[in-house]
Amino acid sequence: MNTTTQGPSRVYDFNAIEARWRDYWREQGFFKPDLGHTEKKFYYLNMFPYPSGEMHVGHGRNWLIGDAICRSLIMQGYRVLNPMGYDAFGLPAENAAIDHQTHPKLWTDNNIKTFRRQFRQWGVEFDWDRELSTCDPAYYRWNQWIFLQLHKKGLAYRDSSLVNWCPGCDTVLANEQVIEGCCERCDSFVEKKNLTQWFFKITAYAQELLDDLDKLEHWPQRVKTMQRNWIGRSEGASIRFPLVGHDEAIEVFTTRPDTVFGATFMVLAPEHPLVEKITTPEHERAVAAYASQAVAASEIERLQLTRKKTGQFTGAYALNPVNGERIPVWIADYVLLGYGTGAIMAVPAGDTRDFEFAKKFDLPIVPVVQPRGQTFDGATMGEAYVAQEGVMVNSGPFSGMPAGEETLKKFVAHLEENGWGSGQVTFRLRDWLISRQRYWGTPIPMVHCGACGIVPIPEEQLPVLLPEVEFLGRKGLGEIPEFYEVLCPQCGIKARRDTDTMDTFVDSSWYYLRYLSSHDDAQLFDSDLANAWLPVDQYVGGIEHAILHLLYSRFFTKALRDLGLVNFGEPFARLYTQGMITHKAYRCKEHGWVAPNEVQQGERCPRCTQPLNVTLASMSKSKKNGISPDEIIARHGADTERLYTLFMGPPERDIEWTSDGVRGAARFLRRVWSFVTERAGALQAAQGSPLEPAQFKAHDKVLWRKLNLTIQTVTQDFEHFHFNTAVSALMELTNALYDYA
Amino acid sequence: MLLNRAVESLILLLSPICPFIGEELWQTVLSHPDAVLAAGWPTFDPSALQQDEQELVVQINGVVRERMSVPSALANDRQALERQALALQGIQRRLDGRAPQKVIVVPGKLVNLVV
Repeated sequence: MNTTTQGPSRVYDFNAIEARWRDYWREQGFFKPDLGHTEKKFYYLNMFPYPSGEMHVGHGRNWLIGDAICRSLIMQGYRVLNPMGYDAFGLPAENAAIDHQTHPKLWTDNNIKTFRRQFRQWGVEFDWDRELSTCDPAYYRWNQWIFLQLHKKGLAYRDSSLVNWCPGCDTVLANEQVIEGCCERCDSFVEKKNLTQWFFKITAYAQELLDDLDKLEHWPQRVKTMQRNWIGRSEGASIRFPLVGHDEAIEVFTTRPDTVFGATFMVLAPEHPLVEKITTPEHERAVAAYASQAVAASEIERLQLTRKKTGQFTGAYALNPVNGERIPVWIADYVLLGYGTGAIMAVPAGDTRDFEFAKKFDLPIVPVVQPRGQTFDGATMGEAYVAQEGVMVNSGPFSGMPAGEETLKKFVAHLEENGWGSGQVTFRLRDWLISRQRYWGTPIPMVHCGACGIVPIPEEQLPVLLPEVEFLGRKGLGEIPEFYEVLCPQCGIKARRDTDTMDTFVDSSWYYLRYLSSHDDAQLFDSDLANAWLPVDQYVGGIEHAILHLLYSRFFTKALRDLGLVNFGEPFARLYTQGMITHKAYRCKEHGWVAPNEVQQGERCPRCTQPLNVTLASMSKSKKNGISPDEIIARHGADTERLYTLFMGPPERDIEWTSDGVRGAARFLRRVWSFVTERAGALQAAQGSPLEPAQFKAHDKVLWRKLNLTIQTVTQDFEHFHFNTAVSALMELTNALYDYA
Repeated sequence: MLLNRAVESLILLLSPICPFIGEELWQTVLSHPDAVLAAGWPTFDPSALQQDEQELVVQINGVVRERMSVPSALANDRQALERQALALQGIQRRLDGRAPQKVIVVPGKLVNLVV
């Protein structure tokens, strides 16, 4: 190189530098692996984003983590697939469209453009040729295709059931979207309504979803635990209690068959079919009166632990099969028809609600489990003893045995031997309700025909397109006759399309496969590529998706496997859940949330000067506490923003964002810049010259050791997502260089 | 040479986090023909971390003036450590013929020559 020409600037001009390289990696194709070759392949994936506006520094951290890992892997010779796409359907787009008087598609497209600009500004790279958006018909036609295949196999079905209705959002919610009886989005009290809905039969895979968790060695333990609890397998028994004076028996399911000797009365849901039959004439009026007022309450209200216990004796008796005792049959509203069999064996000594009921109506209490060293007296017990720990008592041949799983199995065997009942496995997991009554989602490809019933749309007619109409606000497809008026594909008479759209979790349950064939119009994805490139080698996302998204994705993978489309059953080999970036959030009682940069001196509202309520919350649009990266990038450059963000702390923990340390990060990069540029000539001249460790002097050895320690540390840190300690190590190496030279 | 290797490693290790400055230093300032992403990941030499030597600082009147590597075998041999410290060229130059009044040795850490 001609050293007399102007050398590199001594000033770290980050703007010029970053402009020069911004499009370089894309143009050189570094992030575009040839999927045909799979030696040293690595499929890296961040959970794809919801395009909801500008990304803040918290979002940024997710992408920067991925970009750092992928770049290091490419340097280590891996073929890295890191695709980007957008989870574009859903409520937020609809709500924003209403707020801004626009159409969800326009709002979404604008946000996607913003995302692309921000990624480019950050230097975060993906295989852009595989970019997809779930609201694109080229994508959602495959949601519809999957729906038809599941329907053929009986895994998609229609059922009338009590559903969660959110009056605020004007839509049905899945169980998982109801938190403590309220809508997770708008906080309205959720009602129960009877509606005919579409379900995916995820319960058909419950046992496999549970068992395969043991294969996921590289998933965080707590995510697996959350899934186990959600699937909620319990071993119990169904037991038959013959009715006195009738041929029928009351069948109950219980997870504690070991407490059967303590069943001193039965409780049926007021709506139970046997109630009318067994109620004796003297009790008919009271029972009917009680039943009609009981069903008026919502399920939520009936399940409240604090609810007053009410009930009515039917006059009928049942026999406890294990001891032949006659026990009275009551009805009460705390037992629901929709759960289990709609009838329970009441064990007041072992269940809190049964205990309260027995106390109120003066029914016998017989303890069957007590802690070692204690003796319970049914008449004087202050509360139920619910633990399965201690010793069995008052339980015939089982008295004296230790309470627990082993003894429970003995009870089940005893019931089975005598024909009184049988062991049963139940799951807490319910089938996945996928119907939504909103516009902005994938239309369900079914037709309702007066003559033929429910008719699937033939595959050749896919996609059923979302009509391009002016946005109607909260109304769904049921308000758009041009959409739903159709001729029956089977018999040709006038019929009506299904006007439900799919839960957007359907979109995100298989997108990681679609990336392989983003533009393929002939198939869902290329199975050979899928079998070669999946499971995803590293999946990164928030812990908030531990149950819903991850469980649905695992279910979809297994269903697709059983459809013959892939040869594996788990989509994600390694999972990393990063924490949130938090920031102070300010709220004025009167004027709502206030952005941090508008807060007046003394933490007061800019409009009324009232003191603000300050909390620490994860950055979000709704709380206006998201910090944009733009200011830091404008003042210090993208590299500094990247460095600072990753230096803040280990990503698995939540961390509070401050900009206090930004100057330190900027200073470090300037130090590196100066060191190299000041010695550029000498360094260039020495390129390629061999190292001779045998000739090292003492101070050489110090640097040599420090260098290798740094390489070792940083390499390991990258593998464990510890970018903060990696940066520290690089700062130390830089200091060592300054000491040396 | 070593400085070159160390600087290049620093740039390569920093680049996944700071890719812009990485490419600029690598390609523009140091005129490498390849991109950082094509340059490979720094290799680590485990023998560099072997502890068959220890590093001590040599002080004169409590101020660090030199560093020396000492074979681990001699780690606790105070006389050998003192001898080696006094033999360093840089120390000899500074002492300029003076003999230390007192020598403080902390094995594994330092030799302090009090004059």
